[in-house]
Amino acid sequence: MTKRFFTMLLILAPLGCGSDSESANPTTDGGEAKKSAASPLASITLAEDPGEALAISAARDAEAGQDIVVVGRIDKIVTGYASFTLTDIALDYCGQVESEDGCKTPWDYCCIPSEEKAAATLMVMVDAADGVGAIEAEEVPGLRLLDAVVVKGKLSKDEFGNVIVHAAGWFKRERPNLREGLHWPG
Amino acid sequence: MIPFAYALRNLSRRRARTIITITGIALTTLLVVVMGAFASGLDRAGGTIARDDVVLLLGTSAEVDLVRSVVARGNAAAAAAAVPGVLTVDGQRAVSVELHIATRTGDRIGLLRGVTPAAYLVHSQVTVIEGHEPRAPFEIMVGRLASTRMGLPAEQFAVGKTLHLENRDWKISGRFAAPGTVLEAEMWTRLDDVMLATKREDVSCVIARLESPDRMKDVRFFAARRLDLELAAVPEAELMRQLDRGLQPIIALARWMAVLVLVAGAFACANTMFAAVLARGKELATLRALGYSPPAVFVSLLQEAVLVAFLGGALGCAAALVLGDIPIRFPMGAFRLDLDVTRRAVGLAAALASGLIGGAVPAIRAVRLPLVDALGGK
Repeated sequence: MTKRFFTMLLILAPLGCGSDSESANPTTDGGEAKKSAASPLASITLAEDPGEALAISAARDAEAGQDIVVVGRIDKIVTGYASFTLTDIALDYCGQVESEDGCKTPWDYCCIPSEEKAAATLMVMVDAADGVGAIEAEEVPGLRLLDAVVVKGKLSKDEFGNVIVHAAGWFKRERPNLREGLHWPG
Repeated sequence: MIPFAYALRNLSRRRARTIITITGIALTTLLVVVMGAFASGLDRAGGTIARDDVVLLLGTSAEVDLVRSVVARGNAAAAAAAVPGVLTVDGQRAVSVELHIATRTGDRIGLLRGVTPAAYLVHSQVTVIEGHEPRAPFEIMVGRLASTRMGLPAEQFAVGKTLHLENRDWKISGRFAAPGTVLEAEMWTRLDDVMLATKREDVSCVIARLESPDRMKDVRFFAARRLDLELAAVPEAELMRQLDRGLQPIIALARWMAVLVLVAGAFACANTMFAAVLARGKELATLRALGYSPPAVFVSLLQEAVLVAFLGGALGCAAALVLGDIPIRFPMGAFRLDLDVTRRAVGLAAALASGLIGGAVPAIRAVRLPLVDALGGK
């Protein structure tokens, strides 16, 4: 009898924390079909690698208005817009740098000085009739941070020296292998 | 049915045991209330207050880390002037350039925030409750929980007193409240004064309140496009989620401790009731022999257990009421242990649950015993 009583208490005890089990329910976003309609980014995907491409540092020195082909790694995907930033492929991302404490965000460049990164980064955007093309987050076509991407487009510079490539086409050249089980941002 | 007075009289017959059980359940209830309030207070301070129309522009090397963020003052000013989608209040842009530092007095660490007047447009939860915001050089305004955060007596944080921070004396010009936020544990002063006192030429971040959450994408685009400013746009909600993620194990632990305390309470109640039933085997059998049905005897025993639990629960809730709002310190700030009506109701319900669980099992045992065996004292 006493044994039965203890068993009953042990069974009843977890009932007090129902909220935990509710919050542990998996989300259902996997069930929602992802949009695959031609977003501004998807519509300019190139079927083939355009070949020889300038490094970001070289592209930044090019004249505004010039048509260029540039290669770099995706540093940031701008949620809501058909736009991302590309960083020079020669620059080591955190996953390539052996830091003592082990960087928790190997997909970014937080391990190098920000001014060094800024000097080796440019923005890519797809123009639309009313400015830059707007897209939903789930419409970014198969791109992930650190993907090596070749972009064809026209170069422009703003009054602050920022370099922008108005993309006419892009091609994903390579995706680095980072350790398994990473919780990628976004 | 056996009269309720019978259950009452039985409790007074074993006064010492009843009082001990009531005290035990009272302590159990108090612990459940306190642990529940601790978990929800930490939860609230950690993340639920995040607003989805507020964005932080941090230094790119810091990303989602306010502590490590460094932004050149000029870049911060340029961003504050140019960032799109910012709410305008009375003709002023709700965008605040801030410097956050951990300061100390002796071995006590406090949080100092250098702000401009626009900060009050961004942090709309902040209300000056006494005195005024810092206006003159080296004036400082303290949050209601700043003294708790620093572990110093509240009297030292009264308006008109002087605090010695960063090798300077700061006159307390006012006190502020920001209920349910970590801001209450901070001390605010003029941005230029903090920069001067700490010899800093950079700031921590630019914080903007937007016209609507929909403008968040425009700010992200701005930060990505203005590479020269070396900024990253991080929504406040995202930053709070990071903070909350770090606190979740502690919150879960507190909740589990409350459950364990509840289980312990049920054991205590069961122990008392088992002893009572064992000692009254013949009496309960006599009741059954007199014609009271087993369910009637069961209900009477359960009444005793629930009554003891209720008295203990009520006593525990009263103790929680006496304790009031206790300020608690944690690494990112401080919060008030809010022992409100809901928490106390949960504590009372936990006490009643422990009475029900702890009383039901011995009562079942008592009524299932064969009548002849029970009368024979077996």
